Amino acid sequence: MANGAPLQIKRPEELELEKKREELEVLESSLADRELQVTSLRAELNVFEQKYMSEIGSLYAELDEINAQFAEQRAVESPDDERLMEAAHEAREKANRTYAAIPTEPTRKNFAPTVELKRLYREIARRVHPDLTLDHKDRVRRDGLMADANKAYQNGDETALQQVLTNYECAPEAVKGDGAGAELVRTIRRISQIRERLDELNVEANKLIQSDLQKLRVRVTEAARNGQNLFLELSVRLEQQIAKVKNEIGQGVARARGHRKDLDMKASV
Amino acid sequence: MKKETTAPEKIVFRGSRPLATRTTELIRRGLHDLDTKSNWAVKRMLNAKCTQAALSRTGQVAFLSHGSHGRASALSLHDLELDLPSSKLPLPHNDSSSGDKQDAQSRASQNVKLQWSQDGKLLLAACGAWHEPVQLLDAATKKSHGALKLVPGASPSFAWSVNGRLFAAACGKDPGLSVWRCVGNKPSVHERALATVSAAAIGLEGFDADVEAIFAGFGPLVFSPDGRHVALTLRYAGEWADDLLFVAEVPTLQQEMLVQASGTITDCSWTFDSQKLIYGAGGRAFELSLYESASTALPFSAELSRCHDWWPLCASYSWWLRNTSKGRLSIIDVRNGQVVDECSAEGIIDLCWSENGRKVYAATNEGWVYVFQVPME
Repeated sequence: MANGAPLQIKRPEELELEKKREELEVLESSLADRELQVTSLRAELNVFEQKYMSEIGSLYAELDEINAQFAEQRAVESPDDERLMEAAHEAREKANRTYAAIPTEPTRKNFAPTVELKRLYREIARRVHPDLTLDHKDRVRRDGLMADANKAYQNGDETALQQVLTNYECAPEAVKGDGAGAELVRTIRRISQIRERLDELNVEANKLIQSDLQKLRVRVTEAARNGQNLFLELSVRLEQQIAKVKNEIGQGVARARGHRKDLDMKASV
Repeated sequence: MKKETTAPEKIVFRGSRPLATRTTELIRRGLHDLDTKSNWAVKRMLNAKCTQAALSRTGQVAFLSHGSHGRASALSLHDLELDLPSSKLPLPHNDSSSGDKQDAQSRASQNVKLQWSQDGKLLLAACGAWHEPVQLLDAATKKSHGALKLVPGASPSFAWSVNGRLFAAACGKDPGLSVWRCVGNKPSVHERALATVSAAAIGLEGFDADVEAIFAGFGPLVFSPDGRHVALTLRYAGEWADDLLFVAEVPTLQQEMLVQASGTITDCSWTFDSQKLIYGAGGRAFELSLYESASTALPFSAELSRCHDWWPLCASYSWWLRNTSKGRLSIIDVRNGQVVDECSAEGIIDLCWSENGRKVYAATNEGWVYVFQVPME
């Protein structure tokens, strides 16, 4: 060399490491994107589910409760009829089950992450993801950080997300070791871990997309685009059914009162 | 008999259980119930508070929305059956010389009357504050179709006959109620009216001398389906002043009946056979027979009511006399007063049967429209 600079010769493992690092970089980016997509979908479904349960689920609970009361009234009117007894028991169990399904936590209005929130989450997923390390201790730490990040993202808390990133960057565990051969093996294993996680995320995404909740959400959203409010339509129907059963219960009570009056009159005669 | 029941309050929630696994059953129920057929559908046509709504038999709705924060009111047209974009209809300017025109227009919109022609092609909009107070708007072109030379007074009423050949207008104390022929669907109000009767002439006969009441305008005005009669409500202000229901022959406007209602008449509608009037007063529904000249209370409540043109059905809306917080839209068999179908609804301001008689449209003051589909076998 004319300028006397040392000759740079790359060994085969270094060349391979370079290739693998490039591959890893692409995969890390894909993983971060996929984590963001799945976490967003999960959060959106959660908000939708809470809205559904508060607006429609509560009406189902009321309907099942009123149906159970009606079935019990009929069973009381015919105490010897075992089928009515069984029907009343089943109706009560169903009412209890439905009531138990109604969440007590307050309903969140909307999940609308900001661009900054998404960027931060993606950055954390890219750097902190537990599948990016082979060290068990480091993995446990990353698991904890990722859980905090998920919670902060779903709550739309940018400050908490920034804190997760800061905590990670400032920790001594962030310092990496060296050695081309060892690094190559670590990189190959990281690639393998990321691929596994990507597969898991794909399975989860498919599950969420094919869930009844997502089907319902898509229907409600599409109907809203055409000016239709499916929640309102469903609540109208349920209120109709509730009113109908309440009316039948009222008639039963009136029947029972009439019967008692007849008995009283007979007794007085 | 001792029954095994668990009060819902005693159930203990399992906090660790994820929401999705608890609610799967209810989500499936919702999906299933959405697939089962219902006779009722609800559509949002406009996202705004509305002071007026007018439904046409051809499935169009015109909403007059509030003019808040100094914004002028807007009249919009929406199609309930076809997937057409909504459109704005032109509203005339106020006859106001002050700089605060928009505020005046907003206030005036509270007093706008809207009425569709029978064929659903013309929308009449009337407001005393406008320079030309009675406007005809073309639903197809979304443009003005000219003004009618009428002076509407404080609370006017307008109606086309069922065959669309006659037009009645009740505007002010004098001339009161008049009937004209229509050319096409346009009322020939520039020609001499077929008949006219003044509000004073009607009202004098209908009152107790002791009751002090001041004529306050007109309420619902409707032609009978056979076109032989017209019914008009006269409103009176004053303590203990009840509305009057005037029924006259068409086209002579010779008085057939004059009935004093108990309270304010909120709506009235002829039964399919043109024999009876169903009207709502003080929250209750009443029936007035053409041949008995007396009202009987019906076993349902109704503030708004529209009878079907050829079936013994009546669509009604009621928000009084109910133990529920919400109002109810009901389809009632007028032969026995039985509710055929009903659903809860709030803020209904107009009701209408469709042209083919298979649907009921009900518009709310928040831009929603309820559609009832008559189940056919």
